[in-house]
Amino acid sequence: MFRFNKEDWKFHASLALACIVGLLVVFSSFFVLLNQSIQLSETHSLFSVLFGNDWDPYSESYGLFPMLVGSLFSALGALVVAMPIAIVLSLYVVFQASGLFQKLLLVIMGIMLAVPSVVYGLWGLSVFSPLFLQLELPAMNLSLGILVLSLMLIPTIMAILVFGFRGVKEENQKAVQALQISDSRIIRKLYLPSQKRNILFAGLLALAKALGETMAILMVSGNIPLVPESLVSPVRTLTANVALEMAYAMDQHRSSLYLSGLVLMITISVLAGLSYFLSGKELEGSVKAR
Amino acid sequence: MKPIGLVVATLFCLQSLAGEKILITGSSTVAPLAKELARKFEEANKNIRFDVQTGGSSRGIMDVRRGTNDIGMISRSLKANEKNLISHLIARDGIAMIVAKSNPVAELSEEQIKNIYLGKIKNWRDVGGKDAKIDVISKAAGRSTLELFLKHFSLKYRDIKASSIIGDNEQAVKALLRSKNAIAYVSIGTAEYHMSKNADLKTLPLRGIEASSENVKNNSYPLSRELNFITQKKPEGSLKNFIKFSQSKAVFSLIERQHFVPIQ
Repeated sequence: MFRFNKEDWKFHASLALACIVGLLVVFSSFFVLLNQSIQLSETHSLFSVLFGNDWDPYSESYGLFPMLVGSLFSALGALVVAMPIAIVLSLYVVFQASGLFQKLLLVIMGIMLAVPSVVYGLWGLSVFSPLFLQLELPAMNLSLGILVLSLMLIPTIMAILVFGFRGVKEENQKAVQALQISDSRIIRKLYLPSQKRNILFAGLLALAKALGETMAILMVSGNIPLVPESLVSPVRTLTANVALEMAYAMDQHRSSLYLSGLVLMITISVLAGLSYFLSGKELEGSVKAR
Repeated sequence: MKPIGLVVATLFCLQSLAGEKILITGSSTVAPLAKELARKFEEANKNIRFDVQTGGSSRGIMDVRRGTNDIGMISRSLKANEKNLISHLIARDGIAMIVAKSNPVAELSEEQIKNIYLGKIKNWRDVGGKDAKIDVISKAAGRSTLELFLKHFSLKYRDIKASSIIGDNEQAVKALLRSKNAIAYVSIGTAEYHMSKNADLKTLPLRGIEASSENVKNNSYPLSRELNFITQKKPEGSLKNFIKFSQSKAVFSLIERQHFVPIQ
């Protein structure tokens, strides 16, 4: 319970203020998105927009389905690629690497987290686009988007997993040494299972990040508003759609872009809620285990 | 929404108290240029405030007719039934078709360009080039270059079969430089800027006329249009000053920065 304390009042007041500001920002952006999207419902049904296949603002056709698919495929694809790599890398960093090398890996992880997304986009364009061109494939496509996104997700996932693994390692170090079990066995039987929830949590957070990513994916995906036919088809994500067209959109077109924003915000909120719920469960679990 | 509207309205009221206000509405192509011109003009005339709103050329015409704005913006010339209004040419806008410098194709007919963007011609071989797939680069909905392009070639947005869609001119150039077999369209200003920097690209002539700002200026290049300010009556006072200023040499570099071609 909140107890009023004379000495602490400044601290509590600033905490309360921060909470209120944070909440206001989230709720007001949600409200603005909702308010601006409603205009579209005057002329288009929600169903026809969310599941419509045809995006042609010039003939007032606002089917968001190709972009929904584009966003989901890119984000899920990137997660599938990034997850195993990130797990292996964080296991390596925590259990195998030592001394200076371990520190170096962690620093690299930190730098990768801090690199702006536009740099990842440029990197994808200059390194991988030419390869696709040589194979006579579209220079910008879904798999390039997945590749660039997964590179951005690896450090995000690692940052969470490394701390989790460190925790179990410290807790169990003495017992493991005493038992003299092989490394691979201890990782499979103890470390990985104990981090199940943490891994899920990291995955959901990474998925939310991938869905919200705009700049890099805009640069490397080709942005054709069609449901992709294959892994090398160009795709357009919801975020790229907003970034490409918002500056010039008016009326219903503008409203449909706000709706894409709203759809993204709801999806990401659900993911964030889910990961919060899971991390809470994990805390309870570990307390009980003791 | 209402309280926000009220706040905005009060702000506008306060602003109008501060001095003369000039409302400019119309084409979203001209709007960014008008905003820059207005900002420059405000620097020298502190008592004048501009408000630039978009809504398409048709809104520009409508507002001028109704007298609800001071200046209208249109990205075309006046039609026959609009001749009772007065247009003031500010700049011209032209689009160049660009390909890689190494591309052996020297010219494409309008029919060929149309068919490339419709996906009917897929290989450079079919238009006199080497055997390679054509990488078709187009633009996102709402871009003025896209609109002029569609209109000129009487294409529909949904019929375009592109391999990538990009946002602005710079992105188009970057995408083109990456793919040796691409074709794209950009503002002539952008194309000329990159060619002056020795970028690996060239413009294709249209109907035998070279895509250059010179040819846009003298109106011989087909894929171009006028950017006009329009007024109901002969402008007077600060309106007159502003329009004169917008047509003066002082703003040429500003117009070129927006990738348009200044007049004279």
